[in-house]
Amino acid sequence: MRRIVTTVLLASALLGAGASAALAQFATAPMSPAEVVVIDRVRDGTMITVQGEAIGEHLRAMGGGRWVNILGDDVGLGIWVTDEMAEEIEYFGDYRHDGDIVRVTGILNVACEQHGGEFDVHARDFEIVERGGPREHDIQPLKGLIGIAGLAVAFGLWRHYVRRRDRRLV
Amino acid sequence: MWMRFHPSDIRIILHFVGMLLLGIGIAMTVPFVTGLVTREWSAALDYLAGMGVATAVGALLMHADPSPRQMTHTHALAITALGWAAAAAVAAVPLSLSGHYPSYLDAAFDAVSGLTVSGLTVVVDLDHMALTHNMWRHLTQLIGGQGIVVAALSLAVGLRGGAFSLYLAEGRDERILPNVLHTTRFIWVVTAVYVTLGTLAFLAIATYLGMSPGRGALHSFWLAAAAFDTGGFAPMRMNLMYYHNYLFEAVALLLMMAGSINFALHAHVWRGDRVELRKNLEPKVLAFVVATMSALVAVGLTHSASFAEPFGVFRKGVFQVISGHSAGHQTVYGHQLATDFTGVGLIAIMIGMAVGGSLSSTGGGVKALRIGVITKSIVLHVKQALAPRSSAMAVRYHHLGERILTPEVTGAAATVLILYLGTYLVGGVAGAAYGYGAAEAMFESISATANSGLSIGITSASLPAGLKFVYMFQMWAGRLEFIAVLVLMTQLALAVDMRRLRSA
Repeated sequence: MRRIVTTVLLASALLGAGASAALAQFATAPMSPAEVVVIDRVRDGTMITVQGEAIGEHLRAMGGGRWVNILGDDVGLGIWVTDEMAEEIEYFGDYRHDGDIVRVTGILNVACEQHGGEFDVHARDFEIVERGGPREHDIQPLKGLIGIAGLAVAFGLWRHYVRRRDRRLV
Repeated sequence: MWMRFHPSDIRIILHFVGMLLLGIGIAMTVPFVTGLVTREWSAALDYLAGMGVATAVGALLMHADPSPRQMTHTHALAITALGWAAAAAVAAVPLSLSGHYPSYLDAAFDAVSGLTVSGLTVVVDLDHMALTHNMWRHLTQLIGGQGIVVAALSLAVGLRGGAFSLYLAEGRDERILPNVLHTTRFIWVVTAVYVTLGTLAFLAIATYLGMSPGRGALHSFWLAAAAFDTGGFAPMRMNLMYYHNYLFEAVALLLMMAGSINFALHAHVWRGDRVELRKNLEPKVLAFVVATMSALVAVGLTHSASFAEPFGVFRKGVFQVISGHSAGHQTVYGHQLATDFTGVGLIAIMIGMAVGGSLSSTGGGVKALRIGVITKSIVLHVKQALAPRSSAMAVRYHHLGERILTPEVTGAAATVLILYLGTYLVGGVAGAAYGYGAAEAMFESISATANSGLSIGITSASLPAGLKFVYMFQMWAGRLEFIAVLVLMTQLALAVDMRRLRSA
């Protein structure tokens, strides 16, 4: 009997540990901004973890703190962070740079009461997952050749047009 | 009997379309110089190529008739319809080279959307786009907002007569000043003043937010141009949500409202005639619709569990109503429109978009004056039904002077209304046929036809190609208020019909 009870208790403990580990993973598995904006509204006001590329620049928030906008799956999301968190970001994504990839855990607000109805996340935990860096852009000389050739043709055609027009007017 | 174009008519039309393309090519020097100044060499080359294509095609088309005779009203309609389509086709060339559009069709979609000041976009990875390309995207809205033909008219480039016909063909109804060239220049002066003031206001806030001077100045200019021209493009994927600042949104709101007002009314106000602003039927209708729809959106948002705070309801709700009427800047996500605004809020936004702005403004939609005129006509019919048969009745309305409502005015307004409603419906059915929900499909269809630009989330690069064509057609036809497009399509149909007859 004792053996059965021990086995059941052990199995329950293992199951419980597995389940809590799975739940913990679910709770902390980072979402992308694209997933966050379509999130079920029952999660409004709860803690979420979101990951994305910091873009543009950090902006002053009215009432204190900074705004960092992150991008994931081509959707942007506003994260309200402290000044110190914002300063951790080295690269913001733009034409010349890939931004730092940041992971934020914080409170999701579908219509933030503190920030006039903004859809935002108030960061509690902020981590740089991957540093960004400069982006390279290939220069394709063919485009320039097409342009110069086109302009030369246009110039020739224009001169010819003016001659034809003037001849007709005379 | 249908009037058919003769080859000589077609040559005249091609000549003027060529001139417009030449103008588009010259306009590309602005992003080209931007690329050189900002050292975005690759992007600058995209515009060199674009300039080459636009000017070469434009100069070639001008050879169709080197010294065209005076254009007729029908020519003007065809030139306008074809000119807008051709302008979008060449404006798309540098965009398609940018690497931000999966196909030329996608680039053409954004070019049509830009020139027609719609604001729907299928761009990919906008946040990494070059400043050069953003300059062009917003410049298309600045040119399109005034009208590309108005832009050409204001320079009076090689036009021999027919200027007023061209002006009317572009969806404008009133001559503000006695001379049409002065009218078009006045439109540009008004625009320059508002865009300058808007840029300065945005720049002050951008500086407060901590944006760098160069980036702040560019964003400010682009947003001022997009808001006043009721375009709705923005340099960031999040549109105005990127800035997280209600003062920024307030400036955009004022510019959108100014852009939705008839340029003729601007002229009256500039001359100090405030009475016209008070008595004119158009702003009255606009104010009524905005107030009613704002109230409905507020009801919708308060039904939603997420919006509990009145300032948030006002900030997000009223902004989206006015934006729906005009530019289509978004301060909420498309998904929020579908969920948090609830049914009544969504319907209110759709009605606002469908009504649109004023006649002879940069706004789209049916237009407030037509709604006012049709409402007055309904009142007249009810009065007539109640009055003795022998009595004669007339209804007056004030729009740039006292006017009597005539059957011709009502008929014209009703025709345009029916065309808009039909197009809203056809686009909605097309969207639904592609598998989107009925409400979502109608929303996007109204937005495209009314050149509003709000998106509930349907419009993206993954939009089916067929639906991209449908929305492009809706934006084009809606911007020109259908008649010019119908004339062009009729002539094309007649040309095909004639070939068939000959071969039979």
